[in-house]
Amino acid sequence: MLNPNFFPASMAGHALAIKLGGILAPAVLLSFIGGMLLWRALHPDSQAALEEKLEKLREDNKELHRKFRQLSENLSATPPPVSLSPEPLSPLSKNTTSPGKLTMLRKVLEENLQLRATAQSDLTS
Amino acid sequence: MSIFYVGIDLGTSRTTITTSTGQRLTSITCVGYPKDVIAHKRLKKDYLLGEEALANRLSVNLVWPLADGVIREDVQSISATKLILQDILARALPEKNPSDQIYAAIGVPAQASINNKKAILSLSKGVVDKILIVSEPFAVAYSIDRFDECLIVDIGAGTTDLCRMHGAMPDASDQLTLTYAGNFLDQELTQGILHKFPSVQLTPQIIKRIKEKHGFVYDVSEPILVTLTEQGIPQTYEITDVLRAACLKLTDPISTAVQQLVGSFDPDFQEKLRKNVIVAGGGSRLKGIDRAIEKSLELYGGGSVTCVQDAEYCGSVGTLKMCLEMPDEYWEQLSAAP
Repeated sequence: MLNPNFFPASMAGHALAIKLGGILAPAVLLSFIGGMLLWRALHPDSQAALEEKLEKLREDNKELHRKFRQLSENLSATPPPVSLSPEPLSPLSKNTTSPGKLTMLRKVLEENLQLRATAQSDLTS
Repeated sequence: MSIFYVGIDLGTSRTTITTSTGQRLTSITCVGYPKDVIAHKRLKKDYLLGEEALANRLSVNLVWPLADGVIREDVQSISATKLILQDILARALPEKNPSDQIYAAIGVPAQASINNKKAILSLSKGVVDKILIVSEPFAVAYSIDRFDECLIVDIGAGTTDLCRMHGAMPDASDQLTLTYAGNFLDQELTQGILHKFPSVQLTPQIIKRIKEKHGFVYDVSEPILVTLTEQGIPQTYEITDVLRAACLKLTDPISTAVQQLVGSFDPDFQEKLRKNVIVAGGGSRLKGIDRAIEKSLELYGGGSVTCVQDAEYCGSVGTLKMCLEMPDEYWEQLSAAP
């Protein structure tokens, strides 16, 4: 069975708690704001440093944007890496030939001279 | 007076040129002559060359002057080849003055006949000042600087040329020429498609496009679907099996020829030869051809096959390199064509 005196006492407790809360909550809030103001007053440089950092980040961001734009422009200006029509090669000049290759070229020459001789004899006959 | 050096790969389907000025060009080896007066009036030219001739093929009589890698022996083909050479030289060397000279090397099939070589000599008269005729697969070996034990397989449109290199100039027994090449594959593919789908409309250009885009010799492949027309109505056809069968008909004789050249080589060097098979020419673009040849060499102890990077210009680059590396005193011995 419930105590009949319980409810009146509990009600009084609640009322006290509400009163205390009403006083304490603004006090805590005010002390927090006060603390903040005091911190800013005591550390004026930190705000400036933060603003400086923020400014630097903004600058970096601008620089990155600039670089990105430049890269995009370069990419669009560059032709595709694979072209369907062949690119001209750089001009070539006469090379010095190794002895092994010279022997083979000599043989190619001899075959061609022989072919010419046959063609010539066909023409004259 | 300046001397321009040029390397030319005079092919059945395409002619490529590489010059000492750094230019390289390719042109389809065909000439189109207007069919009638109306065509002549519309085209305003006595003949069209290469791509232009193909683009106007309904108004012209097309002449393909080369067959099986060699110039046909009729007058029209010889004059058409001369026109093609003149045109490609003019386009590749626009800076040439009349007093300048052209020294050229032209690649021909490994087993080209004497008559064919003489035909090239004869038609080059007035087109180039000095000419050197060289075996096409040897030119490929020269372009990639492979003179040690290796086997060059140059798959063109008219012929497949094989050449066994062994550190010296290859002789007749080192070389083979087969007529199983790109044009043979086109014929087989046309027959195969018409056998399966008798009513579809095909042209050599359609077949060439299908072959170049989808040609393969793998055991498995994703379905090959192509759009063809039947009485003008486009429809999608599945040609996976037909295409594979046609491609195998090309690679099988090539593999046999590779086996033949490996098997008849000095036994001490056979392994080195097997492990250095190099495939060049347009046929090297057939997907899986390297693995198909490797498979054919399994019985012989296995092999290693690689395809050249620059399939289209490999031959003309090799002939140009020969021109540039040929000493001046050698060139002096070569008089103009008789």
